[in-house]
Amino acid sequence: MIFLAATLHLYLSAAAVLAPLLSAASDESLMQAYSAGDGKAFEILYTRHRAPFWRYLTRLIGSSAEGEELFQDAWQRVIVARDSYRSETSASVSGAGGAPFRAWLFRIGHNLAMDRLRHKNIAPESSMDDNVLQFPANSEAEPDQQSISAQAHALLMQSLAALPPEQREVVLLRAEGELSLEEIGALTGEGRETVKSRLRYALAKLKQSLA
Amino acid sequence: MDKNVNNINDLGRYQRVLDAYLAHPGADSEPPPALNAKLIDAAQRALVQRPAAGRSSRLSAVEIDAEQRKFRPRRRWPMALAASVATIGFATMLARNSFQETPSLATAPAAVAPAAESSAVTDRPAIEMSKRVALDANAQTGSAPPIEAKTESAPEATRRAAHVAPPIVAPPAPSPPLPSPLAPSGAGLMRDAPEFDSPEFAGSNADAGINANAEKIAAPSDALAAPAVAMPPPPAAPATPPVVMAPAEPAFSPESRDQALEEITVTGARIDRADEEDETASPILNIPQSIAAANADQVLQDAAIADKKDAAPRAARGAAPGADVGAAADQHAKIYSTIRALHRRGKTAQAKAMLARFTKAYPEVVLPKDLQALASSNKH
Repeated sequence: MIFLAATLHLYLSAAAVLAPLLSAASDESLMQAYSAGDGKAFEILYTRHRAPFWRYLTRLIGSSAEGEELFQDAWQRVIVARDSYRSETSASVSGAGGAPFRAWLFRIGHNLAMDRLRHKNIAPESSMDDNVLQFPANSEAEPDQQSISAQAHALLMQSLAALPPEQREVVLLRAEGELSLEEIGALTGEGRETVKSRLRYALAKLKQSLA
Repeated sequence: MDKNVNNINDLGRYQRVLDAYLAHPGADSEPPPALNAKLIDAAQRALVQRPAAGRSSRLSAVEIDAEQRKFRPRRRWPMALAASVATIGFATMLARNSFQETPSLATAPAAVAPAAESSAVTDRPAIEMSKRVALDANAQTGSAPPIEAKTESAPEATRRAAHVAPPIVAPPAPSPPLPSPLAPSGAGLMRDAPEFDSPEFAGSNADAGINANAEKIAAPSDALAAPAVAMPPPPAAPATPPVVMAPAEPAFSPESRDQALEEITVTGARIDRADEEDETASPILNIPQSIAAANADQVLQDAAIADKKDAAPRAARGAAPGADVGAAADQHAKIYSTIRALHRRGKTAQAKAMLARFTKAYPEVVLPKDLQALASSNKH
């Protein structure tokens, strides 16, 4: 009994020590740990990327329902392709921190979104549904401030939806994915200058609409 | 971040809105909790469902080799070898059995009945052989019976001849490609078979000679040593057609022209799109233009060559000139727009060159008026 208690204590101590280490680990090491059989690593990885990735897909498609489907499909692909992740990272654009995994994840999302749009033979929605346009209710702000923020946010979403699909995607990859121009270029199959130009035009349009 | 992007990011209200958006991206900015739980659960289950604990789902090298072996073409030469040996062995056995059943001419020459005259005359090799056999038998026994009395019946002689000459029962040439010295062609066996006047065949011990011959055919060492055995042709020979050099010009087919048209269409669409985006000269827009010009030149050159080649078959089909490309009128329209885009951007020389190639490739097509004017203008 004493032995069991000591073992449990040791296990809990190790888990308490290892948990912060796991949380601070890079995306790549987490993915490799998951590939090696560590389910906790995936959970941390998922928690780290779910929100920006979700926003990228729903804003790009313009529909929260379809974005949810794509989101699920993309993470399923990450799960299935966990063993091939090493080769992907070696071939991906070199970058610091978690960029390669993030670029890999967003590339999966981009491919799925393009497949979906191609299958439907339509361009991305030029208007977003109400769920996508909802603005956060910042409980700490004053009600009038909340109203202004909500209006500004709605305007931003509308301006984003009005952008051409290529420009919208570049903005989303930059803002949500925090990808570099090179990574965006590698992801979309365009050159760096093209990406830069699209981003410039998109931001100019957003500026004009929000001025 | 890039300099231009930084400049645009310093935008006052836009910047504040963007910051606010990124700080609080929206109520729908995260996936629903149920979905989170579902995906995490799926990830855990995927780990549990591995083929074996701690083992990668990838195949090992041995397993890959075993999988690939399933799809490799079977080597058929062992089967062919076995079939050849079995056939020759069967032929040898038949020869032995037939001579055991047939009364031996050497031991009982008098028992041989006279043959029917008509059949003996018609089968000259059989008569010749039977005469030689009878003479040899007489020489050994000391008697000198009349030659006619020793004449073997024609059916029996034919049967013997058939047994002496194994090619009649020899297996067909093996279809598998690998050469087998033990599966020679019929000609090889004929060469191995003793001639009627050979010393091996002569003598009273005909059975022994024939059996020795059969064993010689069946024995691998003898067969290998015999220089007269015809080797089957090498395996790759029957399937190898004569080498024909490809023509220097690119081969043309309607599909290739369709593909070429599709390429130029895509290029045109790219230029059009770039045209719509901004007229204020972006340096990147020069790249599609150059690509467009290069592609268009190549495409139209190919199309011109192709049309020349295709003229005769088209006439043979009875189709009107340009009928097969008439369906692609919309693609022509896109080519027109590409030419117009080049002209609009001041690349008149390129546009005219492209137009000239197009009209050369498709002389039957009537150009729109503005392109006709462009073609006839002297402006460069």
